[in-house]
Amino acid sequence: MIFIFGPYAAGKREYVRKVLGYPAEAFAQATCSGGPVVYDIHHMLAQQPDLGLLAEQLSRKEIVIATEMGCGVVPIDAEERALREAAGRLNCLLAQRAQRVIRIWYGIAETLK
Amino acid sequence: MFIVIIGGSASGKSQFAEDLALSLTGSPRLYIATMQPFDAECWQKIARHRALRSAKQFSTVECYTGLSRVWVPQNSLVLLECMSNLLANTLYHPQSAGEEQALAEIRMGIHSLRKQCRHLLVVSNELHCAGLNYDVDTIRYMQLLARLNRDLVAAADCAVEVSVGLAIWHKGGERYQDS
Repeated sequence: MIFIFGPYAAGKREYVRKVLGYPAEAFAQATCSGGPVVYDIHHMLAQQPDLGLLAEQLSRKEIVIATEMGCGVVPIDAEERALREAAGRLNCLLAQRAQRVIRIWYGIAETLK
Repeated sequence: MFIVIIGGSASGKSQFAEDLALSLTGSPRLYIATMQPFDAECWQKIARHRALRSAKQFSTVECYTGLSRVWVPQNSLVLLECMSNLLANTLYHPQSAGEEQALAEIRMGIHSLRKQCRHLLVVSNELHCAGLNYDVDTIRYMQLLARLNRDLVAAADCAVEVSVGLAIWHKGGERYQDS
């Protein structure tokens, strides 16, 4: 699995399309039961709160795309706070499991692993 | 040379950009200020930036909207700060013709400056790693700023992220890494 992450709207899906060569139909939003590329994975946390299990399921995909969202102030709302925490932890688990980790910064790809 | 400098709020990106500008030749040295002063807090920020720049011999050109109408001398060095204000001013202007028009106007402005001046440095904001707990209008604004950031980085000779006043070069850094 290749784990792609980076700032919101920084060009992650465009990179997977244009550089890694996956067509539009390969992309599935927040579900493992679609094509080989999954994006917006933070939306999957509501249905699957077990991060280890979710990471396990996602690591069977070819490409997993996640948004970095932990750099702001801790949200006051408990639910938003829990979501942000879970999203960050999930990203760490995915980065551990991935063969390659690529961060996309406004269109620039940097391989971290 | 076209250099893009992106960083979070209070990351030291302005000072970094000014110091980088000083290392380049180009005359006159122009600072395109895009922050429209609405209140005392804005004036305070502007005063702080003016003090930072005072010894560095920049002439200030105020441009809140209409970047494509700015003319600069051929041999000039231009430092534009900041893209986030310019986008907000252009997008939310009472006579704004919509999102795509706002982006087109800013792109045209950047293109026009690049053709005119010797060196162009553009400062923009990194505000895309702080979660998505925002209203739809803010998310829309974030998407548009990200598009501009991506365009700028793609077109630039050099692109640098500034964190705690230090540079993380993402593009073209080999020119500067040793200096």
